[in-house]
Amino acid sequence: MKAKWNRAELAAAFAFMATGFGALWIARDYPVGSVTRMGPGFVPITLGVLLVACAAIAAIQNRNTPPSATRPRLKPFVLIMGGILAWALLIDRVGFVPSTVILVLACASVEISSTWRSSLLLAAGLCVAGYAIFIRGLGIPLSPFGG
Amino acid sequence: MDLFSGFALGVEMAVTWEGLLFCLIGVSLGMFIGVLPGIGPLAAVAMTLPITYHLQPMSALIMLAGIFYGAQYGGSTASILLNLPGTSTTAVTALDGYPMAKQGRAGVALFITTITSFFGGCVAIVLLMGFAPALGKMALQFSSAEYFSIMLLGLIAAATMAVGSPMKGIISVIAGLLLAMVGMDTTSGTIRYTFGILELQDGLNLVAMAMGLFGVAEILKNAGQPDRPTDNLQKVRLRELMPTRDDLRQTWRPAIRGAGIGSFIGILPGAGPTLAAFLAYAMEKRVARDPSRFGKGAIEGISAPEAANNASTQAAFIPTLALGIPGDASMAVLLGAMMIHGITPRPEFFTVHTDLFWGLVVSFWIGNLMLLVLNIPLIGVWVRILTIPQRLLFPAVIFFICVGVYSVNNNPFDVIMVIVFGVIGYLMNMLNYPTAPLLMGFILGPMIEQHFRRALLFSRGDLSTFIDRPISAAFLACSAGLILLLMLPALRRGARRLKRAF
Repeated sequence: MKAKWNRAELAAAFAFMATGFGALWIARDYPVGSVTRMGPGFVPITLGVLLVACAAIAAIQNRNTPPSATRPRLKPFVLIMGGILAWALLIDRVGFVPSTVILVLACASVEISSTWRSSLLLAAGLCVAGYAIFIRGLGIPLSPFGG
Repeated sequence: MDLFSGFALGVEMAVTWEGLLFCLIGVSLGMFIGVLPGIGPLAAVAMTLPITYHLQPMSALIMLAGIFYGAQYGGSTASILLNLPGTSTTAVTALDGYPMAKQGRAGVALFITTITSFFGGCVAIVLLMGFAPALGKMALQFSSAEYFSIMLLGLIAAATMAVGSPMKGIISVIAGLLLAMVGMDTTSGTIRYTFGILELQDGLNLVAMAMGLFGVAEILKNAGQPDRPTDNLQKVRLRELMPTRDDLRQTWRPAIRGAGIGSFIGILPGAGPTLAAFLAYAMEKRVARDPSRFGKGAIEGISAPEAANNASTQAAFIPTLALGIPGDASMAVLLGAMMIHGITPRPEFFTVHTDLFWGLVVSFWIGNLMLLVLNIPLIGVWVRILTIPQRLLFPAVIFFICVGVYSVNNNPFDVIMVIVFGVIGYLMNMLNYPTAPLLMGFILGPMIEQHFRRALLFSRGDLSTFIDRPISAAFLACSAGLILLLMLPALRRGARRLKRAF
């Protein structure tokens, strides 16, 4: 009987292999030098080859292990990553307070037990704490509102 | 410098208002993070790294170190009361700690874990005071060949002793080493792997990487899951803490054994407190007259692992400070923090930074005493922390990650890097690729490359320099041994197949 292939494991191993090949491809521009006087390309190329080889072994080893029980959950992933991305893009444009409110609301909406009231109170509290610690305390050049 | 004057110097360094304050902040924060399941000490240290940019090196080190050993104390609280390890190193404590709590002896269990933690920590600090300067002196004779070999051993050990598939650990280390190549090559000045992005010329930002891999990825794993049940959380009253004379009699021997195992494991590069705790537990089960008691609330089952994981955490500072070889990923982050302050932990550390070393040692004593006080009279406060709901905790952590990373360079680019590493960490967690070896590879990468190149430059390209030098050869032999051990099952299978074929 042919065992079923574990697609996730194979994908992971191939991703690492691709990383290794990518590293090798870029490193073709770096001088390798000799063993005595190694150029900047020597170590990256060695590592690239090792990564490809090890990833290939991992692909063979894990090709038909039973799939793991953890399923990716899209909602928390999108909301939290989106919140951080929004914060990073907005911080220099609209200021510390609006971007923090957006971030906190996005992250809090992931939790089942969140309510509008609790999330807004949390956002307010974090704005005050962040202002006190980072802007007043550590002197980070951020304005509360505006860029 | 002898022990006594060194200690006096340390007192002078650490017993200042600033030193005491940051020690208290560090251990309390560590305790706090340790108590909360879902956020480990690595995430906590990553979160506080940005703040240390604004501190004196001494205060920064005292605080960061305090987080590590503080988390070891805190982790056992959740293990005992909720059967949920607060940190992975205290997972073993739940095996017998939770049954004790169910029998209404939670207070005793908490008291015993605190005392044994303190004991384990003290044993390892004594070792640190005696050993580290001597080891550092010996290491003064190390050349690049020895450094390369010992770092290689550290990386292989970190990769293979991680939980799960050793091959995945090795892949993780290699990927970390490759990530370390990003930026300017120190020897030739060539810019590597920056994709034309200006911000990458100084290399990837350690803080952003650690926060993405550990902070964000850990939150993603737990966010949106139902809150941990806390209804069966018992109130722990102060007088319930007192163990009986019998409990104490059963505790001291396992605690000594645990501290011994922990100190030994801690000194080994690459082996961390989780392994120490597991080994100590296994050992107690073996030497016990009645092994069937384990898992049902045996007091040895909590005292030995707790002594071991604390001893291991403190002893891990020996190779970190003396050789610059971190014992695990947490130590690697600490090493990174020291480098941020321009301190390279090397044998010269003891001659150049004698004051920092002794200051740190004295702060360990103070910190452990503070933790004793924080734990026993204030245990009720920590129990209440377990009831903080995720809807408040997780957004707050994410917020502090964002601001903290931003504050390093005042540049939103670093925050974007957190997202990149958050995704990588999330995917790696899901597919059981350990992320800690990646970070270790990243931090050791530049050093290992430099020593490799320098060693071969000195030997005129002769690779035998690594085995001609006895110390280097010994480290390489250990590395080879580890890899062999790893391949043993596969080799055996192969041999069996061969036998069947003929």
